[in-house]
Amino acid sequence: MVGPNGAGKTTLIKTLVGLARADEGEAHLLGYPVPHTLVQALPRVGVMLDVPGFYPRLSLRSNLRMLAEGLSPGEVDGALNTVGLLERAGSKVRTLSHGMRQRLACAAALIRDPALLIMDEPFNGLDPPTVRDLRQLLAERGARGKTVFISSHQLEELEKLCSHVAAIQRGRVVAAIALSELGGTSLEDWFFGLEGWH
Amino acid sequence: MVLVVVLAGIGLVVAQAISNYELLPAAQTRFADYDHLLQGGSITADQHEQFVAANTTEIERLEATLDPAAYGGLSARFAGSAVGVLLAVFMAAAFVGAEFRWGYWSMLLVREPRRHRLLASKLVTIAMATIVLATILVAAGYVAGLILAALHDVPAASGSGFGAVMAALPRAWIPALLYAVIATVGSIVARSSLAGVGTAGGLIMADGLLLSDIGVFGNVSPVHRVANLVEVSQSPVRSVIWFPGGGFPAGGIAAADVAVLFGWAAVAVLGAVLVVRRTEYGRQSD
Repeated sequence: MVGPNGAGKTTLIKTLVGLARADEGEAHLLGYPVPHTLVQALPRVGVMLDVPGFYPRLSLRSNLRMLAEGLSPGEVDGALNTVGLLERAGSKVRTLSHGMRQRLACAAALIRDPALLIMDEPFNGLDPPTVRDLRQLLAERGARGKTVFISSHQLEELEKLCSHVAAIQRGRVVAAIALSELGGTSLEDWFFGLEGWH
Repeated sequence: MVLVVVLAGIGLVVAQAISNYELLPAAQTRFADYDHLLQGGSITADQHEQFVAANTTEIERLEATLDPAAYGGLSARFAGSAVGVLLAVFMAAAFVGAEFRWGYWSMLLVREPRRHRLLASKLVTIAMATIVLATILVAAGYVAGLILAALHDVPAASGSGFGAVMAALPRAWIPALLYAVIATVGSIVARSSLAGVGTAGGLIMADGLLLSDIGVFGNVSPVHRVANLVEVSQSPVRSVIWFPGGGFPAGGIAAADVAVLFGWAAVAVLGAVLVVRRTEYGRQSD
């Protein structure tokens, strides 16, 4: 999902996962109408928010264990390993860089191996190696048949990663396309070619 | 911040213990000096009697409060005082406000969307934390009493008073719980630690200054009901500053007092439920 600042991308995600209530209209998550049946849908959904929050004085492992009640220590460490943070599992979150916090947020979203992963600006503030690692991680999930829904301004990354793109403006989807239909056009050219989008 | 509150509470209790222990030698010295003066024949017999009556009572009072078990009681009363209540308020507001600052509620709500459950979990946590805080303060007072008794060569208590201290703990805990819950609700509704402290502090001040002495409001005033649990000054201004007077009122804890105080807590929680159900969490928009 792409769109300019203020288009409603974050608001849409917040509405889907129950952080905000829609004034009108309907939303469904994995077929469940929200917010009334979020309890059924959310266990199968991983959410990575644009500004993830953790207890700064607790370790990475402790934070994940609090967010993933019922999972074994091995599963928690497995999630940390997936994002390359296992060696820092005992470190306090406040010692992490922004990029590492993003990776920890990714681990928190992935920890239950969700059917649907929703990510809001996952590439923001990441250095190139971390962007590459995250892209590979998400591509692997796609190859396993898992759905990944990303809101981002990083058109180049989306073009490398996504199968479909929707453009949103003022809270409405104004265009949607499968990347295979772009032909020789880049995603950036398609995006800026949309009416009223300059 | 929570650790700072606990350490501040312990520090205040110990300081109170030390200051009282310092008073006893001073009173005894004053008594001895005066007695010496009397032997010189420079005061009348009536003056002597008045002095002995006044100072013996003072020394007896100090010796009684120097009992380590009594010190536990003092610190239980302290926990029920405005200072103890404010410590609980600061602790609750700091805990909840920090979670909003860190953006932790959003992380929780995308895993547990039933907001009333999240709210309940926070309130239960705060309730347990106030029990721990009150217990720590009482224990600090008791241990400080034992240590100071040894240092000042005062006979240590037999421990028979410890049961009474434990019985006093609920009287101290209930007021702390009420205002901690109100601070929690204020912090949750406004998503700010400062708002939580302001809500609880504002209620204490408004109640103490305006409502307690106004006819029918006195029956539902928290300060009025707290006065039945721990000694509260009848002066509204003083009750804002310092709840206890001389100790714990005689008799058991009245159900009506508990009902009114928990009623206030229930009203606050209901308000929080209504607000939390409609609140948007996470970053505003993009």
